[in-house]
Amino acid sequence: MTALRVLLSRLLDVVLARRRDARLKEEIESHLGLLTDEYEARGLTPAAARAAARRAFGGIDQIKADYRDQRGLPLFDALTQDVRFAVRMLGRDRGFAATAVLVLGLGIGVNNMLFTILNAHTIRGLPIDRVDRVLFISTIDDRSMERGVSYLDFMDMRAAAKSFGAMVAFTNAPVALAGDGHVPERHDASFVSAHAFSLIGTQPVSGRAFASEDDRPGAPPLVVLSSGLWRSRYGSDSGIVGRSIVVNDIPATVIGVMPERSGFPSNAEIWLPLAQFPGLLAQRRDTRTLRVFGRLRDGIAIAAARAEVEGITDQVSGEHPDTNKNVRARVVPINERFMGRLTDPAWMAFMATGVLVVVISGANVANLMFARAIYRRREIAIRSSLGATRRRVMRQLLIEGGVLASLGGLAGLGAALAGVRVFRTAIPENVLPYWQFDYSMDARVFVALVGVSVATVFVFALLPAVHASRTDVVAVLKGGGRSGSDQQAPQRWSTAFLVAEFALTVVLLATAAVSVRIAKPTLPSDAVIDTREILTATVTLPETKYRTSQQRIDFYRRLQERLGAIPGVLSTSVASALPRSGAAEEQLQIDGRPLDNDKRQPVLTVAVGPRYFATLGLTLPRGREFSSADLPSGPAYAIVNDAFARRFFNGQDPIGRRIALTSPSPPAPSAPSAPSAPSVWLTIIGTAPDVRQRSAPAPDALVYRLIDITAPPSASLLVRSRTSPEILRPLLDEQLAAIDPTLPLYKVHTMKQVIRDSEWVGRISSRLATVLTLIAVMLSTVGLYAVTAHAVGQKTQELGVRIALGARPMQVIGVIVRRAIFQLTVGFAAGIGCTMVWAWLFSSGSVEVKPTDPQPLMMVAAMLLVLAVTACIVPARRAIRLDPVAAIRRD
Amino acid sequence: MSSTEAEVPYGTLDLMVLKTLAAMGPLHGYGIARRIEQVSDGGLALNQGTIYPALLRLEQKGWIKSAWGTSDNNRRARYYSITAAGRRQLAAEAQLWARTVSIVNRLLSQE
Repeated sequence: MTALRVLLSRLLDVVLARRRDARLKEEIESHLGLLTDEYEARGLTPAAARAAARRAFGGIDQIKADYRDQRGLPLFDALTQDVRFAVRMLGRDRGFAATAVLVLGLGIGVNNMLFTILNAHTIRGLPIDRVDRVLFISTIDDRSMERGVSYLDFMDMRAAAKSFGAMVAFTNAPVALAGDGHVPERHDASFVSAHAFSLIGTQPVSGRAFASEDDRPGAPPLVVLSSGLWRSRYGSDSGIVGRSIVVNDIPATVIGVMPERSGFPSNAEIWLPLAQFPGLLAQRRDTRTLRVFGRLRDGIAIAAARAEVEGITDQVSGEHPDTNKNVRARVVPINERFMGRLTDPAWMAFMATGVLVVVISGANVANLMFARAIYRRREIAIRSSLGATRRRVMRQLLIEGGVLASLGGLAGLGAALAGVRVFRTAIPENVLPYWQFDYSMDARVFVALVGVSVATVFVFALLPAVHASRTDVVAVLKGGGRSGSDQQAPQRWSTAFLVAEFALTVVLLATAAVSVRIAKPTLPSDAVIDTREILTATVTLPETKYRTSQQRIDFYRRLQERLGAIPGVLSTSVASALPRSGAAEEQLQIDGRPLDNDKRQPVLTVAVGPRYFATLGLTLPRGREFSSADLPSGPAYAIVNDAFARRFFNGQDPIGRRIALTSPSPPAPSAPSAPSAPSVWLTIIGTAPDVRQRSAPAPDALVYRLIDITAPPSASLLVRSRTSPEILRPLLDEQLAAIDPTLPLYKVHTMKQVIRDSEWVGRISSRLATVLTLIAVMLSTVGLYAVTAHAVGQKTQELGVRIALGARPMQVIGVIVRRAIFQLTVGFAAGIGCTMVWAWLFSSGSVEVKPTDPQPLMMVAAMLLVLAVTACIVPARRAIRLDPVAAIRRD
Repeated sequence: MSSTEAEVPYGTLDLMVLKTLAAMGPLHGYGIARRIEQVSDGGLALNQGTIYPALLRLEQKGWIKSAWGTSDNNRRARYYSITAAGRRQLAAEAQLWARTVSIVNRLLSQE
């Protein structure tokens, strides 16, 4: 009770410090007055009485100090004092303070930026209401491939599952919009189950979403629009709800408009009920293309729901062995399915990178503090001799670290916010895969920031503080603060820190080099495609109108002819998929080789029109490309790429060899009328340079077929022309309208844009890696500079003696550089070891380029050498310009 | 400082202040110091100023309270008075002191 009272009273004192001081002063005055009165009454003169009163009272300042110690919280008072002193000391050494704050700011900033991204993706996750309660359901087929869920399976699952409050399915497909007084256009659409929007917790801003009765076969067609489409196509018409538009040639009523930036489930601009998906009801049980997710009922555990769905799947598979034998369910939280888990090697590596950077910057600051502590030995010795305890000295140094860390944390906050902003704007709007992530700072991120800042001080300011506080007062004061070699221990420590810093930098550089290499287009053909002059666009043929493959073949042939006739157009072609835009996967069979069922050989295939390679600006190294003289009725040909020739023919000439391709599964519903290619032998007539269809770092084995053979319902056009895209675009529309006025062209982009968009992930990660690399190198340079400069400072006398004895400048530089090179070499060797551990820990990375490959490591070594030279220049110059006399007499 | 003047034993100043206030009623710092000097009859080396940290300590513990007042010769002074808790504390400490003294005395009077 009393203790509490005292504490409260002291707390109050802290607040009332000034008033209490005034009170004491007044009391003392009054006391002295009374004493003086008495002495005067005894007959002393006023002056003598006053002096006597003071004598009797004792030391006023001592009393005041005593009183102050009683009053308030002495620790608090001392802390404020220490903080004030720390700020003064740092202010006196601005170079040091600025460097330390910059270094800490960068380290903490990078760390926090990475954590913000990690937090947004894996912890906060997709912008779904209580996202951790939403599970994504897919199937694993008999070949262990992950597939979607078929409509029939979905219906069974939804009917039987009790763990879910709601279960919905969706599938994406572009639709054609018309009948509203505007030109026909194609837009990305999602066909979604009723209640899908309420499941994710998003409601239309006007109108309503789909109800159960809207999602039944035979229900009147309804659509929901995105805000973007509502604005761009319908001029933000407030009366849009209730209006009728034509979607895929069918009149449909607009019932709602979704809020901005909700492209759920990916980039949908328009939504239709799932039941409206063409041919859905006729789909077979093994057409597994729907994506399914459900919200758990309250109180149901994920494991229980998973077990239930697996049970249902097993039961269905027993009832339908012909289609569902060995088909299993995969049930995972939706965010984990798309963003991965926090414990995934990729995310772990991501966060570990953040930790590395902060450790490097911390080690750096420790070195700066070591260097500074040695300069301050005399000050510390004097403080100690005046009665400062070791704890007090340590506390003072730690508080200086704390002040630095607070400033560094603040700088880090700024750096992180700026970094996240840059990261966000680097993501192209139109390719964002799943919604917008919220990269704003939340409590978690803030706590991480503060935690890291505090930890940095404790870990890296503590050791220098312990060392400095151990200063041998007598030795320092006696030696006049002479900088001899009596401070071996901190020297060793700072060398250790520096080596550790180098090792970690090597790890960062090596892994960053990999990211940069993966992202960089390294294939010659990537550069060969003259992307600027190619305009691309996509056209889709509605199955209602273009039923037969002959109709589609005719359409593509006529289109290619008409486009080629546009003045200024140099070359045109069509393809089922543009470079970097994916490809179909089919099973390969090579004539004369046994078909090994266990060792399946999937290859990517692209259907292209005549002059495809010429339009891309490529020439075939061997053979020829398809020409308009190659008719579907004639012999079937194929062109393979170099990767294919290398993989299947050991680089020998494959021309004249025969191959066959078979689709691995029934045709996808997005291409319902695409006939499965007949298993015919294709004769290879040419080899093509490696053009990447996917953004994978290495080219895939690829087979090109004439588009006439597959006649896909959708194809991309390629037009090479000197005319600018703005002028060319209406000309293309005109030619298309001449063939079929109801068909819209969409995804009109230059080839350059197509490749740029396809590379955004790589580009961002490579930029991130580049920035991290630059920061790491900068930090290491600062670290090496600080340590070298400090060593030169320490050795001034020694160097002076050497110069006086006739050492040549090169020898002096040698003394300095040798040391730096030694530290660098040890750090590099340790770094290689750490990189190997890193590669082993987070081995999910690229198979093609490992961080332990010699090439990235050579790059890193070269970089570090440049760094060492940079860091040594200034100290070395200072050393060779030393005036030996002044140097020897220093101190 | 002559050897006949004893140092104030640690902790006893508080007790002396409490006793003085209990016996004399409200007093200012000077009055308390004077009183203690009188009672010790010059046998105690007391820097009068040291009384103030002690007063603060006692006030923080709630054993005394203080208020501004005017002295006999018309000077503004802060008057301290003992609280009920202070009286209880005084009784307890006086008892403890007496016991301690008797033990020490007994020890010293042996042989």
